[in-house]
Amino acid sequence: MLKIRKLEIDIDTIGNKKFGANYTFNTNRLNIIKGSNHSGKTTIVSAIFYALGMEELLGGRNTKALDSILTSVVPYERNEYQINEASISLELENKNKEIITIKRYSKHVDISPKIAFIYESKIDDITLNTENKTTYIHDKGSAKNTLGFYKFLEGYLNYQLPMVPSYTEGEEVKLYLQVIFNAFFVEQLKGWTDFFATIPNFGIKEPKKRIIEFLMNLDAREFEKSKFEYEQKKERLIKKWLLHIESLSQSVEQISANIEIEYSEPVSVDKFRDSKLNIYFSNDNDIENEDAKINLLDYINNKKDELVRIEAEIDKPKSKSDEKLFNIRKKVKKIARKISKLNEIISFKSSELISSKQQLQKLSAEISNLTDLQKVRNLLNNNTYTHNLTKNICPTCQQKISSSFHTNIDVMGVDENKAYLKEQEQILKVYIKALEHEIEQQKEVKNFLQNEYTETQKIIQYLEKDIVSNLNLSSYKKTIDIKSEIELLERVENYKNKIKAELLILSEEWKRNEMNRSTYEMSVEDSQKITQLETYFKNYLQTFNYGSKDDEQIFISKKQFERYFPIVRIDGKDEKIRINSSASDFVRSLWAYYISLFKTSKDYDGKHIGLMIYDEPAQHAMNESDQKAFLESLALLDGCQSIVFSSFEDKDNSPVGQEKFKNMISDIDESNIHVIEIKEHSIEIIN
Amino acid sequence: MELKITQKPISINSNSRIFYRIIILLLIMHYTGRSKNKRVPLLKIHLLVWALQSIDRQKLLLTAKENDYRTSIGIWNIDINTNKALGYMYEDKLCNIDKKNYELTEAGKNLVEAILEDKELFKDERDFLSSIGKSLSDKKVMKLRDMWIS
Repeated sequence: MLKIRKLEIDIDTIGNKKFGANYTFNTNRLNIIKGSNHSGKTTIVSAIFYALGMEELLGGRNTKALDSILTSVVPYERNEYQINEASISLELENKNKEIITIKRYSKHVDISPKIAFIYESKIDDITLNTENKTTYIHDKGSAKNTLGFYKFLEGYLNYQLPMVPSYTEGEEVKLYLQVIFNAFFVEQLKGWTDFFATIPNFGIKEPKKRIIEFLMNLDAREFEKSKFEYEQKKERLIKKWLLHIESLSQSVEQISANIEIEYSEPVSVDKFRDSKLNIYFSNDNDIENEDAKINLLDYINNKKDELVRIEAEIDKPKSKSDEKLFNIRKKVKKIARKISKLNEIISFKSSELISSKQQLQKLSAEISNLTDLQKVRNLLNNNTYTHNLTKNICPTCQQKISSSFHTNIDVMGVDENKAYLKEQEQILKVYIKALEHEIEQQKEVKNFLQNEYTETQKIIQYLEKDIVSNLNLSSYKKTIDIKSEIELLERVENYKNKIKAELLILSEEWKRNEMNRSTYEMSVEDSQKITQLETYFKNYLQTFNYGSKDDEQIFISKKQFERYFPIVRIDGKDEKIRINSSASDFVRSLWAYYISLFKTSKDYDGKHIGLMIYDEPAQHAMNESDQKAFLESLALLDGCQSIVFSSFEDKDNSPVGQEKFKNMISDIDESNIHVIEIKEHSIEIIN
Repeated sequence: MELKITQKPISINSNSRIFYRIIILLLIMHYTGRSKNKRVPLLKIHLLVWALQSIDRQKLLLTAKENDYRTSIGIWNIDINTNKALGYMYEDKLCNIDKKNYELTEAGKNLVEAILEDKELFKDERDFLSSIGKSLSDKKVMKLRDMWIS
């Protein structure tokens, strides 16, 4: 709770002329500061904002938001007086009836506007010796440190400001007083354009919602947090559930069985406990009943029975042809050795054959070269070409030279060489033929041996059959197969039980989580508060003659869209009230909303300070009777101090204007209203 | 006992025969030589002589041709015998030397013409050389040489 008891402005000018203002307010009901447009009403509004460190709501820090009359020059009787020193003192009272005075200089030679002095006494009791506390404004820490002004004010208001989400993901910032005060103070330039129109930027995410949550003690953040936790847990449980089922299906696939599960997605434990989770084989043998299913457990038992039966059938083997078998095995080994030796020989000869054929090819090429040379030589001899070179005569010295580059070696002539090579060719051809024949023969031998080898193998098999009865052999194999199959099946069965246990735990968690689930957008308590706010709001709209939309179309939003703020529902679609109201109707909705906020906060023991300051609330040529309704509503607010600054379109205190104003407040009980009329100027000469 | 050793003539590869080499050189100049006089630089002659000595080398060069000789074919060897043969040819007035280029004389050209008349003569060599043809310019030979070290 905060009440403004008194405002004092002191201005010392050079030349010792003193100016000032002094206002006393009714702390419980409506105060009206009435004055014409040039009377300096706004100077008073800004002085109050300034003294409370709320000048940012006017659009500037420190003295930037103030009129020059508080910071540099006082115009008076056509003269201008330079200000030497100017201060604003505001006497306040809180819930605990502690009366303090905040004094802040708007001009001083030494004291910066960032300093505010706090006196624990009334304005009139302050002397030069009165103790005070010096606090600083706007510098870093002014909202957190003990010497910070806002920290002091927070304590004085009995507030504990929460940390709220910042625009920077994951970070939190303090919900500053300058943000909250938007719900109490409405200045005239921007204030009437939107709900909480002048919030300074402190990096707070969705500050308007945070203001309402704070003032009405809503548990929205806790609620949203738990809702988020529910969703996350739900998602995690679904993932785990699916994972378990997937891994079970995979192991069931290994044994080519089928899986039958009633809940492939998470359910509460009550449903899951007795639900079906079966692994079965479809019975192919049962032709009459195609749907016949054999449970895995039954299947395993069947296999076990079969194993016992087969094991009983197996006899001990009796042998008589052991020796025979041994000898034949020896023979087989011998044959195998022979075959491998033959293979070696054949491959060696084959490679010999290949290289011989290559050699033959080279020889033939050489022979054809020589033939070509012969032809050229003959051609030249038969013609008129008389080149020495063709006759192996040196062109330079005309002596006989070697026919080759090997000058020191006697080489064969072309003809001779050709004949020589031809002879070699002949020999090579014969050799190749012989090789081919030999390889052919050896291959035949090998084939013969190979046949013998396979024949003998057959004999061995036959003999083996003789030793061990055919039935026993297959039975041995079968027992091994069945044993390993049973082992695999049992592993799958065990795994199924394990998964079922896991799913049971998950379904318990699911049940617990579902109990935390809330289908509502907000908690029941919050919802009640908002409904109350809505009721008040709609009542006031009617009182103020709001006419843009029907009563049934208007709500206070409980959904994410415009949460906590008025909306208009058109054809089931929610829209902001601002774009669906005429300009003056929107101002009516602002009046209604701000008053309703106070009333709801009061009903639910919220944090509204019980102080409202409205600068020129009658925007857009507001109807006189509606203004009247507004003032009457304010005057009737129990426990709320309201200060309304307005000219009431009374430009020069004309008798007609006075009459109008009188009419406007005629129905308000005198004890509920305090009118301060500014005659000429809000700042007056003192001496 | 008396031992008498007489030297007998030996068989040699036709590639070692001067006459064969001369014919190869004539064919190289005829098929790949520049302008009317069939001018060919020495390095290119060596390259083609080297290539003609094996099928693999011929394939390598023909593959390089598809790529316009932009990839290295490695180093080819310089056969001193080719230089000898060219010397004989010069003395026998089959070719002329102009700076580092060899070119065919009229006599040389006539000789080639005579050989070419028989389509079967040195068919493999002719096939290879005609497919190389004019594609292997002197500049490209220099570039292939530069790739020895780069």
